[in-house]
Amino acid sequence: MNGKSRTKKTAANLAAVSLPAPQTVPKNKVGETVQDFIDFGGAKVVQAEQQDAQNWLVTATE
Amino acid sequence: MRRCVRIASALLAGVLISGCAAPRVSEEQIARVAKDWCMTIRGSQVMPVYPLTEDVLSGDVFLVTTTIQSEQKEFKQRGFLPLPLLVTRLHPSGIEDFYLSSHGTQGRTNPPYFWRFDGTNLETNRLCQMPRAAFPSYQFSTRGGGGLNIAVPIEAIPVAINLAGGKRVEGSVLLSDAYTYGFDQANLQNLLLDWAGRNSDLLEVLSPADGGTNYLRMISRIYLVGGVSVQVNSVGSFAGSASGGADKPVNLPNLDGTNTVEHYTSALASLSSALSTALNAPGGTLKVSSASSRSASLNETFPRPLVVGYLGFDLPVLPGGQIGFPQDTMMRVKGGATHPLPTKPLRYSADSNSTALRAWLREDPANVKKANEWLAKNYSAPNLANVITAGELRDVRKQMVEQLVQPPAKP
Repeated sequence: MNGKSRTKKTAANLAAVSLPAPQTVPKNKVGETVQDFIDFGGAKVVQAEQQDAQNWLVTATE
Repeated sequence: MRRCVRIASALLAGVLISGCAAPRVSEEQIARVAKDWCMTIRGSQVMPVYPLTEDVLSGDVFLVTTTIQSEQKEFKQRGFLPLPLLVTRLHPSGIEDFYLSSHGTQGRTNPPYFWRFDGTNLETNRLCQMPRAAFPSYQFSTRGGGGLNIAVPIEAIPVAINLAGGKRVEGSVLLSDAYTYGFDQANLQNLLLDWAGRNSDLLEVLSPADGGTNYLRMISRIYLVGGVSVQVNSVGSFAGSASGGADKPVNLPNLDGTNTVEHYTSALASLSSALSTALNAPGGTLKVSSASSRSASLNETFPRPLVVGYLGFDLPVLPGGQIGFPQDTMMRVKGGATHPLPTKPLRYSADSNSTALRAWLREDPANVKKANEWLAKNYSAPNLANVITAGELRDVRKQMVEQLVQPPAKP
């Protein structure tokens, strides 16, 4: 684990006008937030990057 | 020469009379011409200003009160969006740094006035130093020209149409002497956020009370034009004429036959002079550059350059007077997906409403659609995924749960 993980998935039936804004989340909520970005935010590619010992930055890149 | 002037004056009288007596153009036709005009400006990826004005500046902040859906619909139908309420005019600094002292900005702090006016003499300016722009020509066709100067604020168009004659005309408008200036979004956004911090009371009043969304539209760049060239060709026959399809004889003095170039030139000069006097264009000029039996070409110079379009970005006014994420105006009103601009990351701060909302969204895919529709109607800027857990969107989440998820979640 080098501090980065990428998840790719197609979101369906979304009419969002913008991709999710980057969000800082606790380590144990990264998976849940990535899933929210994909399922509800219209993101196709989400990047999670470790910021410090506790927090990760979740960003929709596409 | 006197004969030329007499004939030109007679022709001008005919032009004006025919303009007055021209068949009334329907509101729909006028709207269509206005839309065509605005679509041309939009084709250059610039938001049209209609009617043209010189009093829109980079740094102006307007209030937009329509929902995103109505705004998109209106933009498609009318071709432009009105800018009804000027909330404030911010004056960004740093024009000299932005242009690295070029374009005549050295030591200047009051754009665009130092370009528009050269000292106290209103008749001279320094526009040649302003950054230039160019627009494609605007094609149009219409029957009769009586109402066109209402739809398109250019006097040369109805005059050229009447000069060319004919019931049906086709023409083109070329925006000449186009200029532009603007500021970077970072500068303007910081200025606006500073202003918003000092005017939260006003913003709270401007935030929608009925569940809608209001936006602050910041103008970041404007486009000005100094004049237009209008070319009009008559096509088809005249109404009621027995000689359908025949050329209309334009009464320019002796344009055919044995006349010399000198006569033709002096005739055009006489006509231009008579037109400018009759139309009483203050400080501007209307010059006939060519005329024939089926076409006319006029150049119109505005007294001072007018703004024809702008670029900008919108920031939603959230409940409580908070400002949301900025979005590009053109992208937003076209309904396209936009990346949020780089901003401070949102903080994760889930609460009981997060759990309730997520569970409700997972219950049924239709709920996701409902939630996005509710967001688009009420806020549009925040993304649904952020609403679920972001601390900054706690109020939006609470409202969504109260209005969409039943029963309402307890705090």
